[in-house]
Amino acid sequence: MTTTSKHLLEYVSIQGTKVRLMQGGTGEPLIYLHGAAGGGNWLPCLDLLSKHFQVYAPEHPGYGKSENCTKIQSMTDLAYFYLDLMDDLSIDSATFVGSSLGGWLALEIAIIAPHRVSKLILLDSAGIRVEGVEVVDQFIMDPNDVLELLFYDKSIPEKLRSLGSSDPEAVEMNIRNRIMTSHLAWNPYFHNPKIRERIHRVKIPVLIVWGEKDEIFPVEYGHEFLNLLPNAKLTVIKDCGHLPAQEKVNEFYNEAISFLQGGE
Amino acid sequence: MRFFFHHLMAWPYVTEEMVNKYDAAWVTFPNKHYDPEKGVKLYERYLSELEYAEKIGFDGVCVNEHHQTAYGTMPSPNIMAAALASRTSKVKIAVLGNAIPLRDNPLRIAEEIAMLDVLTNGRIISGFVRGIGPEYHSFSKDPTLSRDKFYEAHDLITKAWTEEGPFEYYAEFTKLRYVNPWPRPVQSNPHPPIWIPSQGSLETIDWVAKKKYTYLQTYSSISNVRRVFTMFKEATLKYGYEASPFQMGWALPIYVAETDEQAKQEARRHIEYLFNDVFKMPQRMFFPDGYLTLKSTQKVLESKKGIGTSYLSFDELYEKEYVIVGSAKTVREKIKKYQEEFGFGNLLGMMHFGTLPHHLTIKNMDLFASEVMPFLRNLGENSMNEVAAAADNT
Repeated sequence: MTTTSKHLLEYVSIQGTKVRLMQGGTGEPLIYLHGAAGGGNWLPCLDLLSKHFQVYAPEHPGYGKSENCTKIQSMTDLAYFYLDLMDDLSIDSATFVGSSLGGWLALEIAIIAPHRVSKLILLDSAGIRVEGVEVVDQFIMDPNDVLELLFYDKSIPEKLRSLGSSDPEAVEMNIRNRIMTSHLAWNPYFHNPKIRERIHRVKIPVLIVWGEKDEIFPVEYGHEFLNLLPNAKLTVIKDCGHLPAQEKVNEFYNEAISFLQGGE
Repeated sequence: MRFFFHHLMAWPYVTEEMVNKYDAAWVTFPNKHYDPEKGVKLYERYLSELEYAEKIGFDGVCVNEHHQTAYGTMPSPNIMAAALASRTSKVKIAVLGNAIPLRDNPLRIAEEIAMLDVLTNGRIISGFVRGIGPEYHSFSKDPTLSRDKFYEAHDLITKAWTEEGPFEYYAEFTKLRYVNPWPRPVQSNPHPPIWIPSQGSLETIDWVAKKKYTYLQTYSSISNVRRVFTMFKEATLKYGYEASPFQMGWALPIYVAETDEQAKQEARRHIEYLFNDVFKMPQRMFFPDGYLTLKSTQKVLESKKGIGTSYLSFDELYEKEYVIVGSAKTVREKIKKYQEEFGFGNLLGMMHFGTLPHHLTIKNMDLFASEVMPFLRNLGENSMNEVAAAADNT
């Protein structure tokens, strides 16, 4: 186990698959599930959450520096993998925060094993399809154009591009992330049609956070989740794109803490 | 050497305005630009060209599968093969190939090829392909599973042709309680010849060599064709045998005219249409994430130019010999030189390409059949005779 200033990094083997796991803070467990772009970084929002929780931020199998697991053929398979991960880390139940594809994953976990999820925050989550609401096809677009759509503040993608590493390892991880996302979300496009019939099982408190200007999954998706989930509330963040926890860190954090520390 | 006419049945009515307006001639290119009235005439014209190939001495005709594109209007090559079955009586009909991973039940391919083989009394060559990248968008098929599905579908189809049914087949993607296809292929020793068209991935080359199938190199610069045939021959040696000429094929546009200059002038625009106007697509449409291995993806990202994703001029295609264009003498000499160097025994000339009009297609075919083919017939024949029986049975 290596230590950086604010979090620990280790590799854990779950049913024979080694995954990269970042951890920080103390308190009740909170598991952050990253989206399609991967989860290699200890994000500022995780740092903030780690003031109150023991935050776990794994990289999904096949992403970044985590190994591939050929048994994982769907998001449901990945959900079972995470139940194994919780068993191995002796986490009976945790708060889940899932961003985009990670939100979809958190929902699958909550549907299979509602008792393992105490509270849930969905950030511009994938997982369902809303008839009549157009979504872009991330798989056919140039990755640069996708990056452009992720943020409301268009100076962010520009900054990220200028920081963009030509380091071969980073390029390789980026390709791995894209390949694994294809595998999980190609068809049906970023959703599991079964979720609509099973989502009633998620009776725990859910906070749905959505960027008002999300160009990947428009805010109508947030409203649809609100309709479908029996115990949810929706917070729409102004002037924000697909990644509220990154683009509006403090607003996200304040909403999250008020929800997680509230008495519901 | 054996000569085949490989037809793509391109849609020739893509205008410059459309090319400028849309970023691809595939997947998202609106099908309002397909005019069925013109399609009626076009199918008839293209089929007549393939029929004519038999009359003037070609050994075979080839059809292939592409979806939702102006590049080729044959989503079902087996339907075209059926049409050709009744319009021809001698030529081999090569389906190059069925995109077997795109099928939810690949047994359907085993059935259709068997039907075609019976219809033609054993004139079918069965090509198998993965389908190119855009087809994984068109069919919403997970590109990361393409290779595994290809191998599994191939396994099922060849078992269906060779093992007595009914039997059960339980594999990763296909689960069948009864595999028992009627009819069975006429070519039953062990099954219709299998040809594998490829752009030259190491894994495919190795697999074709291992299976003793016929390897077809498509759309490549001469330096790449050289590299690939060398690799293929090395791969066959690794598996303990020497590749026969029948086991190697080269598919490329060929155009013959009265003089070199005239040939270039007549072919130029139509070649550029094929390689650019109807091949045009963004890189990510061509190479969906996971269609290639991690290593190949890195290579593609590093290379700045490629078919489909960047403009290739006629002069560049000509210089790098993606195409062979010239007088009969020039074309003869080039093919002879490369046959002697590479040792292939199947030449798959795309005698029609892009917008080439009917009369030039026929002129091209006539000149090729009368002034090129007879001079090259015997190339590789010695080694072919030695291995003919064995190769025909693979």
